[in-house]
Amino acid sequence: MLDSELESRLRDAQRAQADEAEPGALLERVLAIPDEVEPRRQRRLFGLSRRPVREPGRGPGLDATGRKGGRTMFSPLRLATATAAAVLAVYVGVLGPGWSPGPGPAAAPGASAAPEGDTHIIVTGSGSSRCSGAGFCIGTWDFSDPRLSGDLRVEFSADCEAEAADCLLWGSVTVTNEGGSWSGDVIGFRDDPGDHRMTSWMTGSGDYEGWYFVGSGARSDVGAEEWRAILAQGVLPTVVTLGLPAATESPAP
Amino acid sequence: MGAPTGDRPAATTSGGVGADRAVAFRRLAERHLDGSYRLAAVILGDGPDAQDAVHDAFVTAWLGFGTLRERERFEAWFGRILVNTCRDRLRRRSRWPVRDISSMPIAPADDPTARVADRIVVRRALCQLKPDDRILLALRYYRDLSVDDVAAALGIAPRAAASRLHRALGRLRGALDGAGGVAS
Repeated sequence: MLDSELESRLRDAQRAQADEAEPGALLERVLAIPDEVEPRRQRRLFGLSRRPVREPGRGPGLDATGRKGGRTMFSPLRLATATAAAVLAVYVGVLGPGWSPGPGPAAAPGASAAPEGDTHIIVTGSGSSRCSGAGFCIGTWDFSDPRLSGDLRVEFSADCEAEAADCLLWGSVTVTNEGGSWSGDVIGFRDDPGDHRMTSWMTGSGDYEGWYFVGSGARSDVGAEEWRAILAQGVLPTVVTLGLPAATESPAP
Repeated sequence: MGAPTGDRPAATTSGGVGADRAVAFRRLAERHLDGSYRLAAVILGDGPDAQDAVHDAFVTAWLGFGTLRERERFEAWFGRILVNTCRDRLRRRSRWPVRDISSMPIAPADDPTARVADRIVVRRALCQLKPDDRILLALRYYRDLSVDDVAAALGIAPRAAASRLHRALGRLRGALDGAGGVAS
């Protein structure tokens, strides 16, 4: 089949499908959106109300002291333990005792009540980037929430098995766009065929001040990196600020 | 990095605050809704699903409306939101959706039967493609965007768009060949 023939058939089928589609009451539904979104939420998002950022309630296992001072002694065993603890702590911090996925306050017992309104948004997106051997990647992020779409920069270190592509990866990440930026840490791994999986947490600035991001992404050998994350208002829980080794550190022999 | 929010005046380029913003949003929605809906219908291959996708995309756009500095950029900006929303919906579907072709519209009296049957074959083949392939083909062949414009719409390099389009067409051809090629 010639390309021109295939393209012609494709255009014909797609245009017929578009012509057959009936929007129904879609216009009325869309025009009602500004009335249906809570005004309080709009003010918070667009910065019209300068409410102070609230500290999140402390859940089980969380440390109230914030990021640990000093540099963590680096060794593969300690880093692997820290990584496992980080993943487990984030998991427990979200799903530990006292947190209910159903209606009701999302904070642990005894903690401050969460702000009214929907302040937590599940987002999805994809990223594409090119990386240099010097430990940095540049690219773009494209998310279901436009606040997260923009230019991506990652500075990373890698701890790899000799002569193979199984690597632990970690570093700092920044996403910038017209409204502001997000910055934070990322950690994950890459396996021999080229699949890699990453977890990242970032805080917003500019228009996004008072919001934070926690998510995970994966990418097979080729193609875009697919992310799923939560965008939430407040201060990033301290459990995810682990004092990871700086991106320029090299693993101890 | 964005400017400190304390020094930034409330956004006015998109129609001002409060009610003005809602008016501006509604005007833009009315202008772009029909085209967006039909693009979503082509990408998703389903009218009702496209209605929900477009509605979800406009909700996302409304939530982020304050970040849009220039109203002239709404079409491109919203287009990316819509594409992402459609992509998410396609990924949530089963990999091999079963389509009830008995619900397909009956061909008008003056429409050659073979052409209608071929459209069904092509649509079924499109349903077998990955979300990214369907989006690429819809932007290039339904919207008739140039390769450069497709690349801009997806935020990728033109060269990447060209190669992905080529591969997507190849996969469509393979899906059609697997279905017997041309409708008899």
